[in-house]
Amino acid sequence: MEDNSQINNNILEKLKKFSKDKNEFRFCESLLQKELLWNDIDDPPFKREFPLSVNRFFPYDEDE
Amino acid sequence: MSEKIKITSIKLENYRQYFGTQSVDFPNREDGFAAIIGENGAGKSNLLNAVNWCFYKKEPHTKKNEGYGIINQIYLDSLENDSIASMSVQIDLQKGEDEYRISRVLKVIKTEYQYEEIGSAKTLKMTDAQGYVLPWGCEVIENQSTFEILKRLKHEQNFHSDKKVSPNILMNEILPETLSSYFILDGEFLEKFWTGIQKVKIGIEQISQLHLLDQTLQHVDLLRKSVPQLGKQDIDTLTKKITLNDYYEYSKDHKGNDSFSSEPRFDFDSENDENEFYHATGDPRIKELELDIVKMETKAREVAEQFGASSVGAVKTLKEQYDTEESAYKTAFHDYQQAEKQYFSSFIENLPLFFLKPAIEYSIGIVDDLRKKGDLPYEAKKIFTNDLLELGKCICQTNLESKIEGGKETNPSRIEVMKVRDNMAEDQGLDASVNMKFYFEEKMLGDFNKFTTSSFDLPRKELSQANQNSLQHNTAIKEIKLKLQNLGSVDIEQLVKDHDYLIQKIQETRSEIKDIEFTLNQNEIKNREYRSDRKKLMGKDSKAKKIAHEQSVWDSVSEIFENTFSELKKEIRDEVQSKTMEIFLQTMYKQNKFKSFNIEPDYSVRLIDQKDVSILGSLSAGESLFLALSFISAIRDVTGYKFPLVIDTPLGRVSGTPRYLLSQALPKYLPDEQIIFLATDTEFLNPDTNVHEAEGRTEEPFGQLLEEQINVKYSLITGMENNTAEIIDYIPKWRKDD
Repeated sequence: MEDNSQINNNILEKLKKFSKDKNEFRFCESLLQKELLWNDIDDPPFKREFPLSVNRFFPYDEDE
Repeated sequence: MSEKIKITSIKLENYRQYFGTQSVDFPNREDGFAAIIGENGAGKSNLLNAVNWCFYKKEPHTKKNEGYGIINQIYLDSLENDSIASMSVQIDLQKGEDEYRISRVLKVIKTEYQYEEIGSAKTLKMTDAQGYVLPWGCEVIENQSTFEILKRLKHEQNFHSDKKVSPNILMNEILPETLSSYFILDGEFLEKFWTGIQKVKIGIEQISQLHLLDQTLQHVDLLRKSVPQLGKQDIDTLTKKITLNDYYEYSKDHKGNDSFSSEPRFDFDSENDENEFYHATGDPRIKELELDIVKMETKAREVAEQFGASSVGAVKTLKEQYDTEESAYKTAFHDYQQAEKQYFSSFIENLPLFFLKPAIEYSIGIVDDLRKKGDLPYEAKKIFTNDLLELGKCICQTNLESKIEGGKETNPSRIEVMKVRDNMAEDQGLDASVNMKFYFEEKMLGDFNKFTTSSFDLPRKELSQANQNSLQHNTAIKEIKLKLQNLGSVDIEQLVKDHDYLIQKIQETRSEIKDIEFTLNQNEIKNREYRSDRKKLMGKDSKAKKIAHEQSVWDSVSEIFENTFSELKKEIRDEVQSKTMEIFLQTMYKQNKFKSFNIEPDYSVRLIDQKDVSILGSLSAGESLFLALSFISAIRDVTGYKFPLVIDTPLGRVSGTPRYLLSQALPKYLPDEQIIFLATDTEFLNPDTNVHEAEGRTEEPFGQLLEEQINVKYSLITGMENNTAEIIDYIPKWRKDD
């Protein structure tokens, strides 16, 4: 299945509009993709998965 | 997602009452509508169930205690014990140029039947085996029961499976289960479409995926709000304050558990309401209050319907008149009682005077005579005699000087005057008589006409007027009561009370929601400050820095999702409401009757007429059905899901003129989409006896009226009696007559 095949284009356009940059947009999009997969799951693992996405898109730099 | 989908065929094999293999092909919209006709109980709803079962393994239209299982009983009876029974539903779809074959198969081992005796009847013992109703002892073979979606591209000969994608995910892409009720429609769903906000809310949010944004936002929000205690007092204090406000928002107690009030939900319904009592605070409470407002509005509408839509206003007006008259009557009756009291007290007080007038006049004459003779009142006499004794001389010059001898007065003239003085104390009659004279003269004798007028005539007139006034209001009340009774046999007063109570309750509930929203808003402002302060403090602490970094990501993301959600929701609402109106007006005959269709931010709906009156509750069944279909079309149009419409029992309660008008409107409805009707013969094939010649139309069957504008391909469900239902092609009578 293609990555965005199920996310409504209107949503993606708006996310792009309100995101500061491409990275932020991609991050939001990845969160939505995960939510789509958890559509039928009673207890979605967002507490584990979402912070992992933060690390991927916005890695923590201790010196910053 | 935006490619149009068509159902090309449905094939049932031993599904419920359908015996053996039954299949039906469907035309494209260009070739017209499809209509599957069946009497009540023939198997129309089970055809709808078959589609749902094939797609989602659910049968939402199954009636309780149907008495038979999911596998056809005649077929099962024909099998040997311990053999494998197979039941399946297969649906072929076309999406763009690709074809899909969706099939679900259930395999079961048949065992020896068992029977149970209920009274004198001996019935087959059934059981719920692994989610299916089957004869007792039959066992589902899970590993042979399958669900698959095969695909065939334009130039391919055979269907094949796409191993990379699970059929459930693919099915979700074709038509998500949550949306299916907007495409695979049953009559009840359409009939009750406008009874609450849920269908509008779910329709807009699910189809446009706003729910996905909302879900993500909720999860981000939870992470944003779950900062642990760091052992730094200043940071932890702020976290505690933030958490307390969050607890208010989510209706949690200080331990973070769900917090409920002791107020029971309005008209609690254990099937639909999650909890019997309202949450204590915040969003959960608002959500419940909003749901209950819908219940209250529905109930108010039901009460109003009991009057008959048109008499509600009349009843309300009469009730207002009744209240006004009742209040005026109470005042008038009080005035009457006062006038009566006044009248009798004046009567009692003055009537004796009236009768004793001659006697009083005679007495006063005597007093006047005495005064004329020089008789003086007691006080004057006393002063006069004392003055003479003091002076020692009478006015006739007689010596009254005191002459004491042997301790006694000896002047006889002085002794005489002293005796007169001392005896006077026992004779005060004239004084009282004089007072009495003045009193009677002032009260009665001075102007006797005035006395009789003010004592008798005036109180009598006032009493009579008050009585008349009171009687007038009483008569008016009786007339209003009679009119109210004539408006219906129901307890109108009680209904009006119920209606007023519900309207007041709705207003109070809305006002409470506003209060909670205000508090939430205040808390959010405070929390923003607390979070900002905490962020600064955390930035200075090496241990907290990483958490602060994650928090700032959630803050930004939360804002992006919130903005996306609210802007999208507004756009979609605006678009759906204008599209709904456009479709509704295109197909409705009374275009001038309607002015606008509005979807409010809370998803409540208003249909406004040219007089700016909301008329959703008073639409005819046909208009209401068409408005629902227009709404469904609008959300399909706006959001791009292009699944065909399968509509069970579309006409339901629609008959007479609205049915005729629907037959004129439907062919224009969704001109590019495939539409399949499941209908009773009464709905489609029989003459409509509610259409009168006087209206200038014949009693043509609905199907025949449709065919004046569009082709209809008919199929018929037969053989319902003995679990051997078949689907056969059908040609309606009017075509044969032609």
